[in-house]
Amino acid sequence: MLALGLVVMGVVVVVGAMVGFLSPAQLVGTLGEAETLFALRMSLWSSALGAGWAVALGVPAGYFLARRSFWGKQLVEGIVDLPLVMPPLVAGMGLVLVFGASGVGRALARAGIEVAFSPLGVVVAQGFVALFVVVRVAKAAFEAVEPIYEAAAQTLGLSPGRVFLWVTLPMAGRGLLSAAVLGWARAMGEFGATLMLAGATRGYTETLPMAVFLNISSGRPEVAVGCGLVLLGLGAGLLVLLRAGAGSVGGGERWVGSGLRG
Amino acid sequence: MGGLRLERVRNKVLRGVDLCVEQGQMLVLVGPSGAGKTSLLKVIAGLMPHKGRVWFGSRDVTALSPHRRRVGMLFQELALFPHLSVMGNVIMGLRGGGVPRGKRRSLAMELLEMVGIAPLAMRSPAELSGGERQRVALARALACQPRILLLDEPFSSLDGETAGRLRALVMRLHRQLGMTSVVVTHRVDHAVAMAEQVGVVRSGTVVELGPPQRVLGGYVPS
Repeated sequence: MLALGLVVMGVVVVVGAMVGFLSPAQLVGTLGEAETLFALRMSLWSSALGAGWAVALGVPAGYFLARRSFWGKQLVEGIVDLPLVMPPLVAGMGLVLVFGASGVGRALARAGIEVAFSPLGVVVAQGFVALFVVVRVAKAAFEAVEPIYEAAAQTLGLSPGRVFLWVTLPMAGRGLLSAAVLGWARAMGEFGATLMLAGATRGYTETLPMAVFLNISSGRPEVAVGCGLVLLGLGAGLLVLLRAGAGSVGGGERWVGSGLRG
Repeated sequence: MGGLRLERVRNKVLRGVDLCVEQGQMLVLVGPSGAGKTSLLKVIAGLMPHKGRVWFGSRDVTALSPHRRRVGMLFQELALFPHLSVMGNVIMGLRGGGVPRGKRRSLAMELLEMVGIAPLAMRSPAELSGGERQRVALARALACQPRILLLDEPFSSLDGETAGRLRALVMRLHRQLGMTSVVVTHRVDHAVAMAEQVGVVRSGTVVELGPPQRVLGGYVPS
């Protein structure tokens, strides 16, 4: 009980310190600043795209890991888990080496695609860091669906594709929504890998975390705190989405009332 | 359409099973737990890899995937889809059976009436009793218009009276629809009441096969 009290107090004190740092007038002023608005827009679209490609790749990968046995699976799982414990700054360094002046980066540059130190780099870095969270949570979501439901659907004459769409996907829905929301939250708050790959250029690759960093460094703490509070608000919004989704998707009730469309 | 034939079927559980069930006949497999009864059903449904051959009538279905076999299976765990209503579960079977969209609802109601649970059509499977859930699973298995019906311990979790009623229903439907059926049970009384043929499974193989009077001997009332 005491430990829980300390935990709650820790969160309240840290958030309260930020909220109390700015007067309401200062908060409104910083939220209306062009830089804050740019960072907010940048964070929203880049994290949506980053989480989008992480989900597009991570959900099928999670399904494959959950349902298939193959030689070297444990090694593959270890490799997929490694980025979860890898500091984002280190992941970003690796991404710079891949997408920088050599190798893949040079080939992409010849095709007119600049990843390093560009907004595209933000999307790549955010997606990369979110990807492994998505794979892990999606895998757990698919593992939670007992294979016997898929076997039953197969005996009813449904092809593997239809079994996936009509049975596995809706039954794993709640977990997959969690995977997407957690991936999005991870992408939104991403800093280290983005700093390394896309750089911190004001008004160009400036996401909200980057704006916090740039403004703290340049002696404008009120803008930094304002951006931090916006980031906190977005995170809280995603948390609400996660909880609301947990009560509906895949929970059954939504489908039960209407039966199944004939 | 023909019956069902297994030739030298073996895998990690089964050890060379030969079996033949005539068209429209009900075979009941009895034997101790872990003998391989459920594995045999899974092999027939195409859900378990094996060596040897499986024939439906004159057609070798060994290489056919489960969704192409048209086998209705009632699993011991039932495996009703929890995200769908009772009707949704049956409609899923009708979809699998290729029934056109416009006919699915009325056919689903007919099937639910046939098994006696039409008033529960819009309920969630979680709200039903054990016997009602068994009936949903049976209606769903029949919905894909199977040529072979496989029932794995269909009365195991039911009280005596409910089990008796459901057993009578299964026998009536089996006769009415003219299907070839294979029923797995560890209860000799069910086998005696239902079987036209009885197979005794022990240590992964069918050690005895024949009419209940001969195989179950003293258990059969004269």
